[in-house]
Amino acid sequence: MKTPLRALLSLAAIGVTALPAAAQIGNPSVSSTSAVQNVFCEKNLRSTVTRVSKTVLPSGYGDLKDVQLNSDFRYPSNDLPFSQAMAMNDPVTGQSVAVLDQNFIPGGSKVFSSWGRYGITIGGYWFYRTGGGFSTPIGTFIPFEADILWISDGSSFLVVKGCNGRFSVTKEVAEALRNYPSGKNGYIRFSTEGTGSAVLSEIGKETVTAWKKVYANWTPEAPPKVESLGF
Amino acid sequence: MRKSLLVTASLFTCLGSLPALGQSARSVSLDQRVAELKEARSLAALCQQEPQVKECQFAIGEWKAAELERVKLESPDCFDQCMLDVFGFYKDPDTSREIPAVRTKDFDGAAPSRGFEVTFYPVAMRVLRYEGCAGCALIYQYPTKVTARINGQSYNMPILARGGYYVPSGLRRAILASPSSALVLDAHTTEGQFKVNISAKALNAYAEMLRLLKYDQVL
Repeated sequence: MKTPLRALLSLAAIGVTALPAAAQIGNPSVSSTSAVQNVFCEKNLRSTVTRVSKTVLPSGYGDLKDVQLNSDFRYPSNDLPFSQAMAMNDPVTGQSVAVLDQNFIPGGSKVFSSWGRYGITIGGYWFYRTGGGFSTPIGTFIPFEADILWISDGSSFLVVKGCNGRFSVTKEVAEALRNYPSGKNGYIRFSTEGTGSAVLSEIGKETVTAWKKVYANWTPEAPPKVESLGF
Repeated sequence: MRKSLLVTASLFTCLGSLPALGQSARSVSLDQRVAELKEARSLAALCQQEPQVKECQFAIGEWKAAELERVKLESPDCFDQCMLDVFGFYKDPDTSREIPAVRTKDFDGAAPSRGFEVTFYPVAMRVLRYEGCAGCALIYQYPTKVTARINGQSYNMPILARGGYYVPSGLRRAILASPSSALVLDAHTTEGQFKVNISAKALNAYAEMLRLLKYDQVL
């Protein structure tokens, strides 16, 4: 009984090794036995493609300004309003609603955060001053990206793990931010890549108020298009 | 004999006018079905659900495919968007759906990137305001309320979608009657109230669209 099964497995193995000729495109140096999954990457790194649907905004955001994100890295737009909910139109990922916040010491360290419906970004830079007295003071800016975020949620708190300064928004995270008491400043705690300490940072009260719009309870639903309604 | 002839003739007249009476009793204007239009998500879908709507009976749309194809022969078709102030069918680059529209702009002469863009569809219009400033991000907003004024008459325009407003039959009728008149939209936004002037050229193109698609017969 075992022999036919073994024969079948070895046949399958032959099939697999015989196949990858087509997968060699762009990576001729990799042997045909190991490159089935890797078309472009060496060292057995797995290359993947993930398809994600673009997001759309439901009705109910008629009062928000729309920002078309069309300034690429060469011409960064620094004029987006802070602490105000906005509808963001990203040419790559689709529509979202978000509020931007910043917390800084003038001429010093800065924490920048973006609170989007589907993702949160926290980053900034620390400012260190050395020297002074009899020597020339030297200021150094060290950029950082947060990787763990603490959010207060009533009698408990959420620990959200992310990477490269980015965090996914789950239903639980959205609920905690939506229910944050408005009318006063909020607080978050975060730690940055490579450090164990968690920094406390203040969030402006307008941003806290805007969380109620950004994380409002709705199920994803594409609103009807004007052109379809009008024709 | 003469009396009986008269009775018969009057009976025929009554019977002949019965279907017309029934039809007019059942026909409703789209103005009374705006909520249903929103729910149906497209005019074509509404016309399948409620064929007694006048616009569905008389006008041409996707529910009258053969007639629509004939209208397409009389106007330009363009990918994504047509020229300004011209009636044409533009092809949606994603769906290849051909949509009749007239696009126009009312921009601030002193700040050419600031102003309003208005797109007319047969029974709806899209209005959006570009905040515009040199080197800024492209920020625009949709008005929260729009009122149209033409020939001294005001028309409230119900909101259909974000930036989308229903064009009531009274306004369509007024535009068809005098397409060279000045049409002004009062757009309320969170930034204040703005006056949007629609050019006579754009209005003539919109009237042409309405006529070709037989919306003049609805009124």
